[in-house]
Amino acid sequence: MKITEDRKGEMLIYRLKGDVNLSNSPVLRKAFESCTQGDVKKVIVDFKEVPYIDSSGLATLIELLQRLKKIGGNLRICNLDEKVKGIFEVTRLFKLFKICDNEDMAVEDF
Amino acid sequence: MLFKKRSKLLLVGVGKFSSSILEKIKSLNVDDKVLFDVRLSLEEALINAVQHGNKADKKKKVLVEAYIDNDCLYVKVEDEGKGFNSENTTSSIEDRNIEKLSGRGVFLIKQCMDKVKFSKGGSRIVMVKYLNTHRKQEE
Repeated sequence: MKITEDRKGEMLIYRLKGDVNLSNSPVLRKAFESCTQGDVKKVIVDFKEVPYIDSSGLATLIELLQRLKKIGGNLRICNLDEKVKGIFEVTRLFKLFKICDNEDMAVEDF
Repeated sequence: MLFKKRSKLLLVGVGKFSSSILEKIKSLNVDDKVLFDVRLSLEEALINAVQHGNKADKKKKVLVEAYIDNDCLYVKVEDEGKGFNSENTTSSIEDRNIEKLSGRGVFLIKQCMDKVKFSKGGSRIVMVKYLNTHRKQEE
């Protein structure tokens, strides 16, 4: 998995490339942990190049959201592939996460 | 029989193990959504078998069998653990559980596959997926 970070003031955009699953969750969790240690309050996770997610990947995102909420921050998820979006729908996690069509809409949504 | 293997398996080996089975299924000309669903269900079942069934005991084995019958894919995953009560899983989609970090694996399997049956006290799962390969060939 490749993780690219783009910092814009108190906003941080993570662009992910590859599967978000059990194998990659530790790397992703480590990246997410570092973001909540600074003054970042708004986080966007861009899934444009993520073709697959499993329950471990979903748990990693929930952890990030919980951590952000504790510091008064928030999270937007964008650019979901149709099949990945289906997983957010069947697990009803769209009720927990704010999901946007693309990165621009996610930025505007804050 | 499409695939049959009984081997010692740890979480780090799940991806590679799953890939070797999925390569066989890919060759059947199934569509991407079916392949996604089968991959997710297979990997969740393997993770459960290793983590919860075999309790990550590196001496314990996981059996995986996959075969096709009448345009249906059957996948069996069996561990050497004590099993669990499959009727007793909490609903991960209820509002009070929505932020829980675990408990979505079996739910996802049930959503992604067409039939799911637990046996041997929960240490064996048989998952069925309709492949619709005939319909795809006609399209």
